[in-house]
Amino acid sequence: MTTLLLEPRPDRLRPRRYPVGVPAASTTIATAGAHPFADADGLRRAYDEHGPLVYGICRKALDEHTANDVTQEVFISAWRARNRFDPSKGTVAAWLVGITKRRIIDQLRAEGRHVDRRAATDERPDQVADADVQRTVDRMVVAEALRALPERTRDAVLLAFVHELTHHEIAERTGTPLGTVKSDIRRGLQRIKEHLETIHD
Amino acid sequence: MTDESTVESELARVVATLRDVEPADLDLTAPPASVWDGIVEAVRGDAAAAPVVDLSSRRRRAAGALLAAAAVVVLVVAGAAVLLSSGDGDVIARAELAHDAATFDELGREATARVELVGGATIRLADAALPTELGEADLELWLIEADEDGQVVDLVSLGIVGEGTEFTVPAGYDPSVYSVVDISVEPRDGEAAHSGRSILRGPLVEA
Repeated sequence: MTTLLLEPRPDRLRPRRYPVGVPAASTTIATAGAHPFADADGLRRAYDEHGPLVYGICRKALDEHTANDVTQEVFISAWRARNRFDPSKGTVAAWLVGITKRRIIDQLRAEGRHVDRRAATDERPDQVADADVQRTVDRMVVAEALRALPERTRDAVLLAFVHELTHHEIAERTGTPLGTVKSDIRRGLQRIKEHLETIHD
Repeated sequence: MTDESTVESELARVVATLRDVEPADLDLTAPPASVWDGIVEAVRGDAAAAPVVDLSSRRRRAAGALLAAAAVVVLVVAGAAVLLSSGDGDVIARAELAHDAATFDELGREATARVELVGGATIRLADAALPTELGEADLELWLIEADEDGQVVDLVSLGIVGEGTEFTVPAGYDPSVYSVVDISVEPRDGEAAHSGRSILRGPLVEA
């Protein structure tokens, strides 16, 4: 605990008349629009926005109790490593998802359930590899992208790929013209692809 | 990336992933409240242990409310000083750095240092007796901005002590605002934030 003593000297601490060739205002530049984790509020915003995705990925890969712990660790380590986050190189979501993936792999490894398949000879059925974790991550990122689609587009994509209906069946079931179904699906896939790319790149 | 077949194969990947998705996956829910509580607890603990700074630019507002909670208060020895303008090369302010045995790292219990502000933006270590047996650690020089209650508002690193005795105050930092000089022990752990292990500290006072 770095508590030091003090004798507040407002008159000494606040003179801004000293010329260093830079306007004094520049010393208070800052928080707005800058680093997303510039302060605790930024951490809370990131948690509100991306907590459900991080938690969703953890829940698919881990039991409930461990998923809670790992979700917590993801945000704590993100906060601690925030100096290494460069907003110009990727989104907060991508960064958090990357940490989530590594944390899950660490956890599975600690549980003895993780295996490097390149080296594995006699893996047990409960063992999982990096690729499985990546697949879970992708699946939840795609699910999140689906949620964000306009309703008609989302329904068309869901019916086509999750429920595996043909375009004709979708048109019939939703009462939407076949051409519209096709363009909805194409547009939906494109949006999901773009979303997935922001997470991977 | 603009190649048609690449686009198609990327879409194929999306389609393959979509086939993994189950309808229940769309019901993303927020984690239980206990998860956030644990995060806050850990982050508060960090703030108590060390002031934090963004080091991508080595400057950023510290973790405001969290730091305030940590009650990091500045040791002030001297009286008021409005730092006045002067020519380059002139010593326009000095800081006598002192060790606070109650809260500082004991590595600095014998340490003393006097620091001068030379011209507009050079800090010179004028006279110093500093610990040399640091193990896997270095001494680092900082300027701290304190608020009227002596809380740390922000801080900036000027560099590692030992690589020279003159340090340049980075552009944008006004020494009359970042007016408290601090020397800390920084383990070589790749963590660039202030370790919280100060050994000496003191305010710049008009020369």
